[in-house]
Amino acid sequence: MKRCSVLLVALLMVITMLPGTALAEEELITLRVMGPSVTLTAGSEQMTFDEWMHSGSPLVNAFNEALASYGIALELDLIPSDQYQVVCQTRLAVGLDADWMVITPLDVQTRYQLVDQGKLLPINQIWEQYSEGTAKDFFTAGDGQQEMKQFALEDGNLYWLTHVTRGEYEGEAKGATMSFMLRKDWVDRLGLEMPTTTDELYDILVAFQENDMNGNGMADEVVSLDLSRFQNGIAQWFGIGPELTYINLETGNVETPWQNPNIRAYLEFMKKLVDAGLVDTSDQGSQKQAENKISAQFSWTTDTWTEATVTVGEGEDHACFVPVLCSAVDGVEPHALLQGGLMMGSDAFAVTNVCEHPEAIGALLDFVTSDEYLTLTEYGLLDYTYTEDENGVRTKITGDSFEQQYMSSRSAPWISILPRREMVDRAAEVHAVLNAAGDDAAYLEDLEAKEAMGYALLSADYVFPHETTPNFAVETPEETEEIAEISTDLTTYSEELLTQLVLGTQSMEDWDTYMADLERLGLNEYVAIHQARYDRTK
Amino acid sequence: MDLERKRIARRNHIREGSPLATGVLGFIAVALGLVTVYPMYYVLILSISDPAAAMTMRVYWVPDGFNLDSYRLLVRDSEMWRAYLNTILYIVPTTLLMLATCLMGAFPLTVKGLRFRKWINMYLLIPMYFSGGMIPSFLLIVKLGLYDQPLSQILPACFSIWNIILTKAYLSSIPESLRESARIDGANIYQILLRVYVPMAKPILAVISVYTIVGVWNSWFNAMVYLPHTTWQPLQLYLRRVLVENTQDLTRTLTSEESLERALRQMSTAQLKYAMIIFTTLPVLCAYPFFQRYFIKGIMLGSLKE
Repeated sequence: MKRCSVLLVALLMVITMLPGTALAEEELITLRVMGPSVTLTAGSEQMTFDEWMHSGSPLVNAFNEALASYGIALELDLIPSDQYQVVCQTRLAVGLDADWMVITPLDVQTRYQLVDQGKLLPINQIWEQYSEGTAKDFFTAGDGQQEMKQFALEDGNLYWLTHVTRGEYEGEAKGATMSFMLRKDWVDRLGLEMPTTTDELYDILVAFQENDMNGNGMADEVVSLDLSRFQNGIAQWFGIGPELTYINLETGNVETPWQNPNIRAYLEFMKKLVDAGLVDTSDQGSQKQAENKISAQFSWTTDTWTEATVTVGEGEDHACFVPVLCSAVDGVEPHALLQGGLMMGSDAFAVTNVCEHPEAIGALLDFVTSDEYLTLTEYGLLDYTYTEDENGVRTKITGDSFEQQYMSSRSAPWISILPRREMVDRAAEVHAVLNAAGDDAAYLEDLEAKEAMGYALLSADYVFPHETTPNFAVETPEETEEIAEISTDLTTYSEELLTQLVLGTQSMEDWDTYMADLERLGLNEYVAIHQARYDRTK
Repeated sequence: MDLERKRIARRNHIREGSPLATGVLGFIAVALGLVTVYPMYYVLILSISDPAAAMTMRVYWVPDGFNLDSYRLLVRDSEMWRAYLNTILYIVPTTLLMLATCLMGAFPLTVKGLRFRKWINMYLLIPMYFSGGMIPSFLLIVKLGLYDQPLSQILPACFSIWNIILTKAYLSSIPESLRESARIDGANIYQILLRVYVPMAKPILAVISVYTIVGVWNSWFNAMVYLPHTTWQPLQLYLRRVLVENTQDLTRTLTSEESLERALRQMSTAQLKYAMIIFTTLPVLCAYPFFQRYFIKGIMLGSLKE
């Protein structure tokens, strides 16, 4: 009897131990991930993404723990970013794939070929089958719907994912702005007002040179612009879009600058600036910026990093570029340049056919569409990289470690290998420019003017989308072929023609010839293709 | 009449050794030398000038300030030293293997009685002009298990048909009687190669060594294709990485965050690239005077006909 009791107890102990053993032995599914190892910069320190992921830092540990809670672990194969394109192309060509790959360097045509060869798996089928709900909700009812609309191919499947950024300003979806910006510290020094028309702008730029604002004895204060592009802020004042094709949001049509009624007025104004020696034609913008020779530039409205590179004279105010919006043509409202409120990124992440665990991909998709991932990516760890007040408002903080300094102004670096879901408060983003002032009261005053213009641009009634193909549907194979045939010659001719007309090396009298050349090179077909892509996303 | 002709000839032709000729030629040589040397000097003075001056590139003849911070940064960069070591690790075996393959490839072709010599020569010439391209080469390297291995930098580079032809041309100039007398003395074919031809082939071996060393020192493309991780990457690929990261247009990026990231990187490494260039070219610059005569000899050897 005693022996039977002992045996029974032993048997019970073994039976109860088994589930625990099974749990202990439950392994995470490892996904092989291939992506670029970008270089991270925080202050004067640099580190590669690869080094950071192996550093055992608090944020990395939190990231790995979060992944483990979804039953997955990542085995990273990180390639230096400057050689990633070559490695990605050669590896895919010979079949040395990873489960999850960053295929950003591959053009659309190559991606189509990979799809035809069966090398890329349809991601929508993976989340339909394996998602626990989060990913499914995101792609069917959330912001991911746009991603499906834009990137699904003709067979209705989605073969690559990208970053999704939703920016908001005063309850509306708004993107970041880029603008033409003028040296406000120089304007103030001359006792002038910021210009509101192109004539006033011209006069101010001339005044900068006449008064030798940088004090070097030469009339070398110039505007830094890329003369080969329409994306410079000034063209938009004439109602001209930023690229060879652009969306006119008022009409819903895709248009081209070359057929805009104000194109000649724009070219004449630019030529006037060039003839007066007010524009830098040396392509040495960065050097001239450091030498305090740049009077105006085109950049992100929240740009304060360029100002930090300008060496001003002793006792002079800190350089500060403030956006301006000038009237150019009677009856035409100056337009601002705005990114889309719901923006798709340019990076692409795909699942390859060597992946043996699609259920792990499903879990990964649930993770990257979760709020936990969003918080970890955009803010980091509570009380380590951000604080949260009683109203739930999060504020980033900085600290001593590389990671804390990095996260104080950026998102977590794993967005180079995983899609990002970003929610941006555009008002906070604009307000953050004031942080650059430090103790400099005069600089702070100028930055407040920059902030005010930033809000004004966000609220502008007349805007052009900043991107060439904002949220356009992906090209069909026929469109890809046609674009490949015509785009190189067409864009080269357009850029060269624009530059030469602005510089005056080609005459406006041959306008009809130029237009005929553009048509011969396929401008109308190019516009039609983009119109079709835009129509498919409406 | 003859005297008259000679006087006219003297009047119309610049005589050898005349001060005018010497002056003109000297001036041209100095000008060409300046044009060649000045860019390197410019990089040198930028690398030791004040960082703000280096960023503006306003330094032309003498350094503006004196600052060695970028060199200090470079010396502390373990990745740079690793790349340096890798390059040396590739140079030594590649050079030795190149010499071995050249000798073993060229020596049989100098034997007069070699059967099918004409066909072998043709067989060697064809791949010298035509190759399979990058993808077939890549497939071969992968199939051989050399992908992401340091041997991918050594084995493909240790064989050159051009160098074999060069060596063959030189070995053919060695008198046949030496081979015959060695054979009479009882030497076998290996002893003839090692004891007779190799000692006499020192000039051509020196030329090939120099060309190989410089070629391996400057190479980066094969490393970019076959070495996806930095562990075994050579110095030139590391230099290229530093230079490439400093030349990106900040307004052509998609987001302001990316622009900020790249601007910060460019500001912190603006002077570093100049120091990097000096650091990586210094060994070659120092070694070149000692090997100059071999380069000149190599050019001459290339013009020899059989």
